[in-house]
Amino acid sequence: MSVRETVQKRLAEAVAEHSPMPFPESIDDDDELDIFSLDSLAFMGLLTAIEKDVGYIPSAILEGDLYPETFGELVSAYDADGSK
Amino acid sequence: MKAADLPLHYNMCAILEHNLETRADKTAVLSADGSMTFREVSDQVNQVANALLRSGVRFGECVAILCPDRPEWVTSFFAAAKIGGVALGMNTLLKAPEYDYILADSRTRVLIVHESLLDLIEPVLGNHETLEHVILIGDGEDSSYTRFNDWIDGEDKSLAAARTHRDDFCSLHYSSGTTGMPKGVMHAHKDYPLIAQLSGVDVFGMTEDDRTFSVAKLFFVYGIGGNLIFPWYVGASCILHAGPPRQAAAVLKTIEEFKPTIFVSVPTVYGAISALPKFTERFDLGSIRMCLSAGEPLPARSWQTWKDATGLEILDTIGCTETYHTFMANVPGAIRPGSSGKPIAGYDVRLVDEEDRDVPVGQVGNLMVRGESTALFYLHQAEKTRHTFRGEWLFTGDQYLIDEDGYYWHQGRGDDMLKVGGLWVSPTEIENVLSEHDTVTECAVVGHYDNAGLLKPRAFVCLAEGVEQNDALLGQLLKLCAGNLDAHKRPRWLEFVDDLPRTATGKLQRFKLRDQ
Repeated sequence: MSVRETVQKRLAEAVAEHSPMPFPESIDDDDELDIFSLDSLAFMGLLTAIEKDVGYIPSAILEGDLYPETFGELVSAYDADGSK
Repeated sequence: MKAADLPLHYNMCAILEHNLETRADKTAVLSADGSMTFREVSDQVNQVANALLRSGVRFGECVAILCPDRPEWVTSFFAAAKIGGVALGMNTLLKAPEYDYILADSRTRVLIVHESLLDLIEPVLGNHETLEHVILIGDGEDSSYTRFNDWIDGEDKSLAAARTHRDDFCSLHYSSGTTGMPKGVMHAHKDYPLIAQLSGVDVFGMTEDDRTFSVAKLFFVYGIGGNLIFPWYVGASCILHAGPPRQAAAVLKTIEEFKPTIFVSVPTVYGAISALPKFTERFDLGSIRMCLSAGEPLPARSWQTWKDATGLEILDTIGCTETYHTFMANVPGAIRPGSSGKPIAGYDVRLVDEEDRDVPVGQVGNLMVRGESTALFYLHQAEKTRHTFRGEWLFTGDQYLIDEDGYYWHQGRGDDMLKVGGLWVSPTEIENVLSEHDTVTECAVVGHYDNAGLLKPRAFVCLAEGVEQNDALLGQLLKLCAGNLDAHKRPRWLEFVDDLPRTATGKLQRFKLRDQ
């Protein structure tokens, strides 16, 4: 499973657990995460769930410089650290 | 400490300026936007104050500040108070209609706004004849407004404080209500040293060696009290964090970088941090000696999780905009997790029934509080004032019971208001948004506890006859909420129902929905 697929799978699980919003059948890079209304606790749960799969939390997020606004930004953060 | 202990003519700017005598060159403010000593802060306060006077601000007139937590917020606030004006720290999470109301209600004369927030309020700026000056903080290219740095450039760095009476109002704070627009709560110069001594010193034991950091922003009384007034009252430093608290990692990073000794936070953020495995190994939190919580009740489980991870005990407290800050607290060495602690010195509380009779131990009653820092009224809202300000006593709307040991336990609200993530939420506001959708005939919102034990909005929606309940419609309704409500106000659950429970006279029975 690619990083992108992993992020999408864990995001769908977080939305199912923490949001009334149905997770879309397909999600694009431009789709905003805000629509799912994940609070800070849910978002932290998402990061730790992805970490279990890929082994890291992107440094840009962990160091507080980035709060991804879109699905694409979230995936890119993982891609950026994964390629290091 | 009593208000009568203060000089008859007192200006709250003394809380800053007393530091000039012995620690002028000590750091007063630390932030990613730069640090300032007490002398530098005082110099800028005087420059802003002189600029305000030059702009025509007179005694009792309002200066509104719409800005993230940055040094300019602080200097503008103190400057307004110093000249005898009224400082208004505006909530950065509001929508244009609420800013429109507040600008009118407060008759704001000068608005000091950060360029990152200008879009929120700009659409309504033209509606207010009393608003004479808009000052823009930031280094952008927009030349439509006077820039903050240009505005204060060349102003004198000295100024004597206005000869304010200790009972003169110096700040205005807006608090959400069950219906209608926010309620304006005015506080006097005397309230500042009172809360600093009664809470900051007598309860929390702050000293000049401390360094405070708050995730609650300065526009909240909990934030400005714990992260500006208390530390400066004792000569300590404060850390300003401009980012939103939802970035829990940024909160941890700020702690590691600036090393606060006192962490002022809310249950939601304690929960978010605790959700990060091994957070104490990833981030150095060793500087913290004390943790405070307020805004909503801290679940006992959250208290224990934090204690297990950090070794630190959170002091859960309760205060409100009307009392300015804490009136009950758990104190070091006498903590009862899950409770709000006991009344602190300077405040009395009662639990009463609907006939204003004291209720016995173990029985739920309406929480009343009295203390000298309590406000006197809601601005321009006589009916709500009569309901809440009852002689010496303030009717808080919270319901509590007291146990045999004198600890107070929160039992919910007596009205329909919700406290979500430390922020007031009116069910009516959410219902109004949902009702805008063509398919919705009626709806109701109540509070419901999530798995972490924190209250969130839960919506029940009735659809027009023949409308199919499906995910597509659910998505439309939630997108409507997302477009019109801040994140903390959006329903955490949305359920379609055939009808809402009502009395024979048609009154909505919210308690039945809460029990579902």
